[in-house]
Amino acid sequence: MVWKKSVIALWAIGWLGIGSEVQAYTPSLLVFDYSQNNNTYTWDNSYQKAFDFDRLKCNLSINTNSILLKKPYRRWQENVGAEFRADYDIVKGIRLEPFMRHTRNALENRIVYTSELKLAVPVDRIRHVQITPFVADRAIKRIGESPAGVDEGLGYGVAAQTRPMRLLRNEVRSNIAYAYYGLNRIPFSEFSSALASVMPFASADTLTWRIYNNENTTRYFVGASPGSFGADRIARQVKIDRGAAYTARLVLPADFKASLDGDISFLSYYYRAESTEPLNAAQADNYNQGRNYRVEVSRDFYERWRLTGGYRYRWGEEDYRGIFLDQWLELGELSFRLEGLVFETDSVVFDGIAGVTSYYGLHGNSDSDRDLETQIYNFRIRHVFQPEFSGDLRIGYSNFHQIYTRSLNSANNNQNETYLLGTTFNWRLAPRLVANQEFGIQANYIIYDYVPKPIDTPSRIFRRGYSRSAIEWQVTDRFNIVPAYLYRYEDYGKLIWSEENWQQATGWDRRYHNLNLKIGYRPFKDIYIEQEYSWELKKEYNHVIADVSMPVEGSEVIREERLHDFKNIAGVIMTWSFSQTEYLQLRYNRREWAIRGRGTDITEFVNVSVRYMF
Amino acid sequence: MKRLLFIVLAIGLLSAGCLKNPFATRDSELPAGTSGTWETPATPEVVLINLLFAYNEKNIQNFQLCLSDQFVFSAPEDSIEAEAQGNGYLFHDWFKDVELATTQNIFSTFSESGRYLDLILSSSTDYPDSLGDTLAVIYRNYILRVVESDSLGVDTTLIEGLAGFGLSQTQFNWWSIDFWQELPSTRSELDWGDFKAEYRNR
Repeated sequence: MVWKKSVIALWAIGWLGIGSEVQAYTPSLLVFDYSQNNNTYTWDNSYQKAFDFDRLKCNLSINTNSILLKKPYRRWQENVGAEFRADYDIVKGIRLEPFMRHTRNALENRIVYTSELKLAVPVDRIRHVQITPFVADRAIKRIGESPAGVDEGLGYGVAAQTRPMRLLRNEVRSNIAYAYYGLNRIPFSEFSSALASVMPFASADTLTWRIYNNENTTRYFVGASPGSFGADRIARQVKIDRGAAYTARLVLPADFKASLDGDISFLSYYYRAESTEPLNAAQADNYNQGRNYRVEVSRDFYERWRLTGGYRYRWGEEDYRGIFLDQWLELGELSFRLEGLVFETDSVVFDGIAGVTSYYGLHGNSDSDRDLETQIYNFRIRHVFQPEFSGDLRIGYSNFHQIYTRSLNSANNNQNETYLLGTTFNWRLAPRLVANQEFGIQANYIIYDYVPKPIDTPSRIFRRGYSRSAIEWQVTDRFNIVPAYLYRYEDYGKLIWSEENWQQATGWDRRYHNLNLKIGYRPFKDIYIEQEYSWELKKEYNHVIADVSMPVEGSEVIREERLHDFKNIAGVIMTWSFSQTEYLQLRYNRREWAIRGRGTDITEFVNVSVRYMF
Repeated sequence: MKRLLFIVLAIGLLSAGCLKNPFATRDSELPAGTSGTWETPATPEVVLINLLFAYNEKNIQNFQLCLSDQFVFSAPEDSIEAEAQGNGYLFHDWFKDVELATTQNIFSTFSESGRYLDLILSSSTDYPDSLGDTLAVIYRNYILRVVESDSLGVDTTLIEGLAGFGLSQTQFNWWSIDFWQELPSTRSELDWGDFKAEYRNR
């Protein structure tokens, strides 16, 4: 029954968000972090301290963050926050949870202070229910803003949460909460409720479900003209968020396993003017709703193979203002996955997805009515030649076909097809020496369904190939070196249908070289130094038609350099580890970036970081 | 029991009409013309050119092709100001869906007669582009010219500033924008982030 308890515990945490506000076992921590580059200086510091006096548990947390930007003009941003939480057992079943928070957020001369005091009293003396009433005071003071002033008010509320109850083989939980903050300018209220259950049955089957309803009401200020957030009109906004979901895991006859998931949701915003002036167009009532279902069945064969097949359905409706985005959509999608061992040394994975998403105008035919047909297939085989030598082969294909049904947009209809082929090999040449080789090629075709002129076609092809070679050499237990070289080639151009075949007219090509060297050294047990050097060269060429006179007058395609840039990057990181989670780290990076015709740009980055637990 | 449960759930699924053929697509009409100015984004700079044309041509289809699925918009200074005035939510959770809805609102508004919007992007001398192998950061000075006219006259607003764009190249796709940040600028009180926030649906 251990698994059942685990399932219930995970479900309780995940579906109801159950947890005490006071994290009594949060470790005491001091963090200091400073970094700077050519334009920005950043300081991040935090201090957390937990106190445990048997019946009284407290957490204190202080965070500071300062940023100085030098360009386009000097600007300071500072954020400071302090927070205190406590949990005190008055008598058995009744606790006091005081909470205090104060923050100061400053951006140049604009400062916002916030303060919150809250006292909650969780009462745990009723058999099936925990009830937590609270009172609070919240204040927001703004300086240098328009409109400046103080927004302050009392808040109150109550939350109730039931303990798991067994009802018709279901472990049922529920919660309900209401909170109101009567701030003098922007009052708001929040209501939430949820009912959820987990039903374990048979040996390994479960059914979980959840129903929820959240409603929030707030007032706010609406500007009269674009960009003016002036408090000239007041609106009331009501947000309603409702839904339900279920998940079932079942073992079927003949060792099939089934997984079923589904959900429905409804989200809406309503607006009401509280002054005589009408609201802006953007404050229009709107909603969206949807439902999703997924069925997946899998079975293991011969203890080596697993075949999984699934179907997914999605329906959604969005209504904003009777405009372009008011639409409903429907998705149907099939998926499969076959994975297993062919022999002891060969593993195979083959998976795929095929589906269509259809979009329809909500108020009748729309120029945006369209289908998106998706197909993605991947195949991967891995072979172990020897214990020291293994490799894999990857093949992929995808096609996204976009089909606008109306004549206004159907010129955009196209198929976006990608073909992938790649290999990876790992070879342990010696006990301390491993060689890696990776290779890949990709061809991406965009073919438009309606091509007005064969030459002036929008259809395109993009090709890419790369090769990466690396050596991992563990010279001694304290010293390792990893040199690597990456080469990448890309070209791009028109795709022309000519002589009953596709022809490529290359528009540009790009070559990229990267030589990288990483050196790691551990001079002492707790100190690790890593150095990295990288040289990158990128060249781009345009393919242009030029007039030539030799050997005969005419024109031909020549390559013309468009870009030549070179990056020289060096970095060093020193880490002094006090323990597994405590350290002092120093980091420095320097990048010289030379672009032909545009000079050299030098960027430096420094970082000091300390993490100490006590 | 379990077999019964599986059958009940499977039947429930089918009876709810929740099946769609994963291979069937609809036919399309022949195109009525070209769909805006668009170049396949094989380099990061091309994405910004596509974004520029999409904005000026008010073409939301081409605009959305410039954004990756992980797209995030951030305007730290604008959001601080908005937060101070109780409108901070305008800048919360600004992901791809929010960006598309907001931009569509802008395009719809400035497609009406009497309203005009154009965009100019130019390189920044203070912030050179950083073009990596599969990641790039590009900075652009922008000028948005907003023209609104009625019977009383023409009102033109210039919105100027600096924006940073983080782009990436994915295996199955081309370059697209992951991150769009409004950078602090003293060039005008109103910036692109403020302008966009006014058209955001919530």
